[in-house]
Amino acid sequence: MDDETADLPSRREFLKVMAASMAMAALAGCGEGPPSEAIPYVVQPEDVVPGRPRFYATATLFEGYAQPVLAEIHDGRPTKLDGNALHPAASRGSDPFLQAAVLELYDPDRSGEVIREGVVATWEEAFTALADIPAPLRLLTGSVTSPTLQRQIEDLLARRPDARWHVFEPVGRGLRAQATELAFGQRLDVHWRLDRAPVVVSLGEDLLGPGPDQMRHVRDWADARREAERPPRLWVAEATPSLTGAGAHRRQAVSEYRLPMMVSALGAAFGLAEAPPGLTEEEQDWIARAAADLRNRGGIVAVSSTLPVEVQALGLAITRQTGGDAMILTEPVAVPGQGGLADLVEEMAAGQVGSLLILDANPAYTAPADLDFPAALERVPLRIHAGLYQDETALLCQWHLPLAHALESWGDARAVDGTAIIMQPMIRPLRNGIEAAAILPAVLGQRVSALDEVRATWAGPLGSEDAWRRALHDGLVEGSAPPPVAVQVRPVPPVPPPEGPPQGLEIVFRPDPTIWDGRFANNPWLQELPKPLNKIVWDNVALISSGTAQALGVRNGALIQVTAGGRSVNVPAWIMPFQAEDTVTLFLGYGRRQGGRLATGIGYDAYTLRPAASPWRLTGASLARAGGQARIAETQLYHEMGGRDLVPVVAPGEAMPQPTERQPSIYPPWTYESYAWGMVVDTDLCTGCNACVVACMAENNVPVVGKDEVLIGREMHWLRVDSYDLSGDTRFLPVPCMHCEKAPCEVGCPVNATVHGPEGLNQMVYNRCIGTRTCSSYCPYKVRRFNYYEYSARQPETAPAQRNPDVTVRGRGVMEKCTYCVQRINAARIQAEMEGRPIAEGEVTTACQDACPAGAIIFGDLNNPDSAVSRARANPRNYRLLEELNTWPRTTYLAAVRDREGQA
Amino acid sequence: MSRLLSSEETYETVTQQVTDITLHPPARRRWWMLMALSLLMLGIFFLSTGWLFIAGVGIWGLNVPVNWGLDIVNTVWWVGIGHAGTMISALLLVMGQQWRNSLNRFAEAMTLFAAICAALFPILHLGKPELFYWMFPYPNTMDLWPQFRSPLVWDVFSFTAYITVSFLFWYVGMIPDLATMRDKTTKPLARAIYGRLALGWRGTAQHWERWRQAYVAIALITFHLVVTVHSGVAMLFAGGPVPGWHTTIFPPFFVQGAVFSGVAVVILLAVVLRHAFHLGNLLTLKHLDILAKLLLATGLLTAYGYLADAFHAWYSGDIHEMQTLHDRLFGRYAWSAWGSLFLNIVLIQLLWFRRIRRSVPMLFVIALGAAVGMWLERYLLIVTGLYRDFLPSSWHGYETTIWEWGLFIGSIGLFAVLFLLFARFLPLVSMFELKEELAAERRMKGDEE
Repeated sequence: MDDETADLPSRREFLKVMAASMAMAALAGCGEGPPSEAIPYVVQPEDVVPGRPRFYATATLFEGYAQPVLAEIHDGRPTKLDGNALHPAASRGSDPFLQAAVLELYDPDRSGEVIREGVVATWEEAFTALADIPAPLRLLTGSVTSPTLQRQIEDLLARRPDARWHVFEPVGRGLRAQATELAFGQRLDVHWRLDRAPVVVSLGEDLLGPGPDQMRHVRDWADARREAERPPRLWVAEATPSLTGAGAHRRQAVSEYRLPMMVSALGAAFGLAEAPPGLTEEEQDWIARAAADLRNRGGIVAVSSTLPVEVQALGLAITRQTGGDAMILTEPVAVPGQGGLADLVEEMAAGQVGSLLILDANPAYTAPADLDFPAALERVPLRIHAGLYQDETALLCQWHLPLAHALESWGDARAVDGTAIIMQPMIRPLRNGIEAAAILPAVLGQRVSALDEVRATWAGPLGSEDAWRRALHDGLVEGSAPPPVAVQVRPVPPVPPPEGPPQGLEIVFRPDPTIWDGRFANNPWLQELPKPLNKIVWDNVALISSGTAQALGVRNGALIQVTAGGRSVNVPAWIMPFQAEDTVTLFLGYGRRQGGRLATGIGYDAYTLRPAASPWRLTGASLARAGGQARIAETQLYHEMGGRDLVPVVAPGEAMPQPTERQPSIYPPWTYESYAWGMVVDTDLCTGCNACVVACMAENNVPVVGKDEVLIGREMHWLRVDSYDLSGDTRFLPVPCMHCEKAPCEVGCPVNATVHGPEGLNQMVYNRCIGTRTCSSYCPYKVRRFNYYEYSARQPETAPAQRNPDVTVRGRGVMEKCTYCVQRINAARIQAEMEGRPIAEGEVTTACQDACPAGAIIFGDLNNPDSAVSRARANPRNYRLLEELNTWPRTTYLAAVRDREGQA
Repeated sequence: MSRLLSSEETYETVTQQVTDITLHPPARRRWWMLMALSLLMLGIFFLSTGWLFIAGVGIWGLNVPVNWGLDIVNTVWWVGIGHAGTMISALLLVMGQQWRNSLNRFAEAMTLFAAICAALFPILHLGKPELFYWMFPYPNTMDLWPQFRSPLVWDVFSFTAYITVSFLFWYVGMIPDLATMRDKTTKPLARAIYGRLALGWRGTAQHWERWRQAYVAIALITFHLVVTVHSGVAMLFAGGPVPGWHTTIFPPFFVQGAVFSGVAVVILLAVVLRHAFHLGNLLTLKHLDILAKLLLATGLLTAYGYLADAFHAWYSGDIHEMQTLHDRLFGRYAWSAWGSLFLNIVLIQLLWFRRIRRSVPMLFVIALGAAVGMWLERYLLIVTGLYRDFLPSSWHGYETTIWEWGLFIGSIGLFAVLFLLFARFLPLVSMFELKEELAAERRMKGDEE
């Protein structure tokens, strides 16, 4: 933990605080032992400075996996989350879901009461009901990585022989485990080490895209590319464009049904499969080149977990030959349970289930519609739902129990790499929720606290108080990751022959890139977070190729009706470059009917069409124009550069052309005696993940404006990630304020509301701004955002609790923009001045920089020739955006690197 | 120079005719009907402004990148219209052009009222309109001055100067006529008011001499405002790096465009006044003919401006400039380009024909076309400069809302109410200058005989 150490309380300090608060609580509780919940300070401990944030390690959950978190706490309120750099799964940066989790904590729509038959009840009554839960009991959960929950469930299953445990994740990675079973004879987790793979061949697998793995994949990928003489090469064949495809050396749009053939062909190149007939010349060329690359340099073949198990197994077998140490196999982190959703529904429909306890899952919405989960649920006499929201499932159950948010909970969970985290509450529960670990034992009549349960689970490895506190402080349990497993390769079963081209169009399902399977649908930051490739907000669309659009006679936003299995959904069409012909992509997560004011009533529900038997692919659907046009809001309407070269590309080792001379200016140059802050963004490392965008919103109190305002063009994001589609690839360009030396905005403002600071920052003086908007009209980069309405007052009533107290909340009629996180600079300056020293290199980091898993954002003092940012400026790939305008931006970029050899 | 007024006109008929408009209003009903319509529009103005203050500028269709829309379009259009009045009054006075005497009074009123309308928009369009005075250099406890590099600050100065000087010029020029009104009226209240406004004018030689000095002095001050005010407005655009704005031709281009639109509105007003108050003998076809020639001349200058602007965009080879030029002609707002090209350049070519210059209905239509055309041109310049600038990722269109139109219509209502009040209560035509002209013509006639 290099960056955060400055702000972190030392271990000693932490223990002191813990001891102080516990002593205080012990007094209050008259010797009942340490409290199980967070308590406010009654007497302020000596080293707690009002106004100075404190940092604690814990975790948030994503599909059951722990996301290592370092939470910033202001006066008892968590305001900002970042990845916990001590944890191997988040040693750099974070992802948008982790960043946005803090807003979920304050979501006013989060469930806060025990509900029985629609009426508020008490936990007392709920526990009684749980203790009397009738047999046969079925437990349905999402993916579970928590050792405590796993232990509790095992205990429950042992003591209640009638009970069975079913696991259902609407997205998950279920097929991946089956594939490992097929390939290696046991269920295993597959870990790709992208930093060790000279060649990466992805067949539909979104390695760099959103998901629990994104943080470590992007980090490793960036490390492999950073200033590499021979950067790793990425081959991507996919049906629908992904962030992985965006950065591909060569990407090939291939219909989903043809991907197994592609894998077979690749397998044939390594003698592992029969070469299938029917590949096009282009596809064969792609395979031949990728195979040659793999043979020469070695690397991995990542096959999408949405493809048939045999196909994935073949991919794993190829990688066993070529992958070296880039593929690591471990015991699975998430336990599979005793069954899935389909067999549970079968039992329920047959009336063989006496009671169903649904823990943190929402099958009434996420179950494939052909299972008809709601009807089957009706036949279960006692239905209990525990979740964060009163969602679709809660409405169909007699009991709804509110779960505490991860940031309010004691608990434990494992990150994707298997390293466990003890979760500690950052705040007292804002609502009446409790932890899942405190609910499950109630079925056995036990009334426990989650803290006790967690401590019981870890009594062995963390038995000593020292070890326990160390685990809490560091945010991980050292050495708790499962070791790599050595496996025997088994003969790969043949890939089933391709079924031939599907009738008509082929539909594929994908999780939504910002609200996933629908679980984040009530989070306004994630709703207003532009989808990485098409920049749509607040909606899901159906991606189609331009050929399909022509055949259907539709343009962007036109409603098309998709009918399959007697059900039909109207979806807005969206023409997407790099989409495979005759492929339609539907996104899960929208069309919610219950579960929050923001979640409901927007988008379409793709689960309605999702077949239980093949959850990722639907054939035999018919498409027709439905008539009508959907209003789709995007934050970027044009994805072509229009003849400009905004994200230039160089070959490895090549330099950018010498920058043009700075043209003369009538204003004398500024001089900087102390610091001269600057930023460099490496466009080669940026994968467009959006973590920086959410981090900026969280840090700088950036308001959400809603779909209607985005439609007009008034989104407020201080930092945006532009995406440009070129003929071969998609390039990303994160655009914060350029802090120009010759800033047009400074010239335009009539009232000195935007001025050049002594350290080079282009400063916005909110209380001097009268809103002429001249600065924004003059800004060539259009990074300025105007409060056309009082957006800050339109946020939910609980939003102020999340706000960063170090950043002004802007009112109506005021311009705002990226400040280079000036509050962090000032905090560092105060600290440095108190200690009588200059601000050290690395002491100031911006929120976007901290959030970037690729490390693509470099910030620091340009006056210091040894600083990282000065070195990056000296990089031959350095270029200035729109340099011909003579604005002398302080934010500069490093050109993208693509090696052109072997490219067709 | 040939005679502008008929030889039947005498000092008495001129005085009688002009004072009668005020003292014995000829078209009371028509005036009230026009006033009612104007008051309705003024009501829309107050409604639009009121809701603007309550809800904020978000009620307009503006966004980022189109930070400015109808608000600034209307500012530029209104202030441009004012320019013809100033030019006709001051420039032509100094240059000794007699034909201005029939037009200058109402043209000056038009200038003043148009400038007031123009000045409203930059205040109303602020995010915090209540703080508009921060743009003025006034001593304050914050020890803060405006940012003098900003063209906006200079616009504030020039607008303020413009309104002040235009008012002074108009008022000072009216003093002799106000005295005439005082003398002619029979109502005590009116006499008291006109008397106060006439500042004790007795028409002595000394008065005339002092007055002449003051009048010409103000005219000389006003003189440069014809050029500077709209150049300043142009700098608001040319001062930024925006493609389609950042060009040195903008100041002269704006000034002649302003005079062009102003002459058009003078023609419109002249035709209406002529018709409403039977002023055909004072505002003769000869006057209209001269105005039409002026419209044609400034229109041709405008055409040159378009050509030079387009040429330089092409000649620069700059990709952003070329993009904007292309967007202007073929983009989403191409209607504003083709509309202004047709109305400002094609239509006015009819004015080469004497018959059309002297046909009142034709002239009215062409002048109306020019006024609308210049509004479209302002729209074109402002919106198409902003909506697709440098980074394609930021490009976004602009759609006006009912509130922007409400404010525009309301500002026309404000102008109309002010002008109708002026026409009803103040001498519409400069009597003493017409009489001077008669005297001159008589001397000329005497010389000929």
